[in-house]
Amino acid sequence: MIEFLNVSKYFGRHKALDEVTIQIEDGTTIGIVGPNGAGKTTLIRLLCGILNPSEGQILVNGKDFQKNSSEIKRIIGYLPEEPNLYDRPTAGELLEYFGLLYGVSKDKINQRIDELLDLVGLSDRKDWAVSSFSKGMRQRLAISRALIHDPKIIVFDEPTMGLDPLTSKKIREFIMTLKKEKTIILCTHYMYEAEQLCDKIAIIDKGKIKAYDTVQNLKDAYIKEKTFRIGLKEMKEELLDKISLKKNLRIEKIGKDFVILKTKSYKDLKYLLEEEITYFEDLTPSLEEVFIELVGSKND
Amino acid sequence: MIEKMIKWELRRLFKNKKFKIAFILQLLVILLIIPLFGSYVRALEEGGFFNLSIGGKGYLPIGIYSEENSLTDIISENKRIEILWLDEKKGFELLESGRISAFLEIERNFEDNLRSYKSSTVKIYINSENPKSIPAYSELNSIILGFRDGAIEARISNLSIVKPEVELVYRSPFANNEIPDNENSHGIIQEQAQVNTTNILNNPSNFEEQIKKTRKSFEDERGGYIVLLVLLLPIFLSGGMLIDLLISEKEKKTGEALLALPIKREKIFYSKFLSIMIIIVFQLLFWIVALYYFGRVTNPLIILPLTITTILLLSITGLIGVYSKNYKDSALIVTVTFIVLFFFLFGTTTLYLVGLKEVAAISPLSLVIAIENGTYSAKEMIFSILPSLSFSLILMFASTTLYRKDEFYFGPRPSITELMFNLAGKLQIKSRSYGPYFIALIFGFFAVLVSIILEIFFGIITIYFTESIFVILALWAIIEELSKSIGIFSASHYYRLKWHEGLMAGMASGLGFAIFENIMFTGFALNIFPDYAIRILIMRTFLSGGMHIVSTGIIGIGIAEKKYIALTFIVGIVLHFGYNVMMLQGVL
Repeated sequence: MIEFLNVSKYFGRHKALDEVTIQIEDGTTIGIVGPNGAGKTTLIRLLCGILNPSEGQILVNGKDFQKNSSEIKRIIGYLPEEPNLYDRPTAGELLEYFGLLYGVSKDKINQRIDELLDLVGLSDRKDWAVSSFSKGMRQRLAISRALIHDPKIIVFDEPTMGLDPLTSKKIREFIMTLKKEKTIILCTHYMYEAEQLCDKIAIIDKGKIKAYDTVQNLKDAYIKEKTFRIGLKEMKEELLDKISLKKNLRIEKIGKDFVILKTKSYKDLKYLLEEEITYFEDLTPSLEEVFIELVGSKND
Repeated sequence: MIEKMIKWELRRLFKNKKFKIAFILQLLVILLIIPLFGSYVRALEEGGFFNLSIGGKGYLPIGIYSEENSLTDIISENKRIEILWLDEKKGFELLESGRISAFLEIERNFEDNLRSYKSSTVKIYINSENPKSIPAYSELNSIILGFRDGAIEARISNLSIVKPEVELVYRSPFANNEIPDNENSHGIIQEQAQVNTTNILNNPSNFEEQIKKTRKSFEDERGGYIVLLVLLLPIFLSGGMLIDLLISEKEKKTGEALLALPIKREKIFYSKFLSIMIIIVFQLLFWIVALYYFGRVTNPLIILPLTITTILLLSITGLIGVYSKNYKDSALIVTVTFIVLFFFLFGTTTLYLVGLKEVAAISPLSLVIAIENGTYSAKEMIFSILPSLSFSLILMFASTTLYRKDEFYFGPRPSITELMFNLAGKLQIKSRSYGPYFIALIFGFFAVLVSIILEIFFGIITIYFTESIFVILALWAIIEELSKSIGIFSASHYYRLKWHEGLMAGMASGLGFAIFENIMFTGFALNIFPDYAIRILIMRTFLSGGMHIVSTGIIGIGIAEKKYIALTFIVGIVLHFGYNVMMLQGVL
């Protein structure tokens, strides 16, 4: 379990993180989303021990990070926003260096390098200098570096940022495979990515955690009305009047053969579904709307 | 863990083809330098095209009252000295007016006396008010000592007997204010070098040869100076390499992954520091072995002071690398720092060459020359190594302390003032009554180090352009008072001081400064005038200590009151300057 207890971080006079308190259970995948400059990267850098908190305490498995940093850092793998790899060594040399510094034994390191390069599709590039790698290849190599010591906690900072759709998809699939056995903290700008990969989402803005819950709970909590498009076989006046009279139902639009309705609960639709309907579509907003709802208006 | 990182850094450096080629070329450069080196030394021996010492040709006009002899021949070959042949009366007149830097009186039949192994006396007169007198005295003293030693060696090798008892007697400039009988000019201090020889057999057959040998030894000493120039090349280059290793991690952001590693941050710094150390020490060793093989270095032990110099330079550039945001930022600071360091290293080495060996011993490079000349002692080694090593350790401590702070990687980098106030904040103690004075006292210690660096840098520039000891004294008073005031400003940042508390804080800063300065002076005194060390300590404790406490106390009032700051600074500085002048004039 990872616990942030009233953690604040200052850069000069600027408070990048403001008394953040959050708990991350083992084996969950957490998405950290927020606008630019919200404090996402600061939060995960603190989690990796790259930054030290100005105030507050970070506990990992009940141990104070500050006091046990070497021990805790050994179980954390970190993928920075940009891979920022040394250019001159080969992929194999780079992984060997980081592996040894993370404490992987010499006799296991080569096997581990081969496994990881195979996993990220770079097994044929082991002896190639990093300088010859494309952006996508670098990102995959950086993922291997983050995993070289088989960490229990993996922190990804914008893992698909700036990558082509195919590479992004591969990386997301790879993260899905890791989900089963690791605690993953994923910092991303892409809501669909967070929605697809994460069990829980933390929405951060101006250094504060605005919301932290499962995707569904966030939607339930922050999306006040659900929107549906319902196709009716017959657009009867009396039916529309009946809908209008319902307290919890609101007609947004009436088309030739459909209505768009807003309601707080699925239950309110019950009697409508008893009518003869041609189709039914849930237009309830995604996590992006939740995000905009929480931080959008203030950042406009 | 750190050895893996060092290995990695070395591997990373040598992966760079450009670096590899540059490194091999740099190793081989020595083969090119050695023949050039020989030509250079020859050029110097044959009346060289330029002189490495302070001042140009004829910089030191001296008067000589004597007939021409081998000694005056040697003096006339010194490019810095311009000889004026004078009688006694004219000599003292010009010395007093400052038109000559020293007046030399060589006993009649001096050379004949020496050839016949009779006692003979050479007197050097200097005017203490003339700043050129010190280098003139040093140059002449070195020449006379060399001449005397040459004469002794001539006899030893010629007679194959034990070394005769020959003693050079010279009076301390501080202990003698005697004026020559025929001169009553004020302020002229008499120096006397007397060559007392035992009367052995009259057989000076190889005397001329030995005189030539002595002359050569002076040039050889300059040869040793050039060895330094060559060996300093990789040392100065190493600074740039370390900065590159440190800043490239920030600029390319590769350091972020390093910071996530389960290792202490200071180890990252040390791994870079040590990898460059290994490269440079290897290169120095290679060069020294090559120079030794070709006979241009006589003692490979010079690797020791050169390694200390490397540590000094790397610790300075390491701090710059940690502090700088990017290459552009570091380039400016490195340029200024290298100039200061160059002044320190070569300034002190030049002092060594002109004879002020005890003072110059503070630089490890002076030890290189001493080792080369075979004149080094254990005391000299300790005295040369300890200050640089201690300073390097302080800088390394500062570098690792800053390296541990997030701001120096991720920004915003704190200013020097903010760092200073941070340090003051850490020195805060619970007691409000003593808090400000404790901060001021500790900052007073640091002020000595700041002052020394600034005084060397600006002192050399000032003496070169003004040649006035009074300007130097004024400058030093300003530097020291400003340095001491940092402690008061820092204390007032955390405590609201009333005027009397400002006075006390100023006095505490002055006291801290005086304590550290007196320890240093006593250390110097133990090295140069061991008999006077205790006297100097006592005298300085009451006089200099009192002055520092009072002058900075006055400034403290201004800082506390936040008004009349300029006025209190002027009063403090004038008081300090007045004290300096009185000390120079011997009033105190």
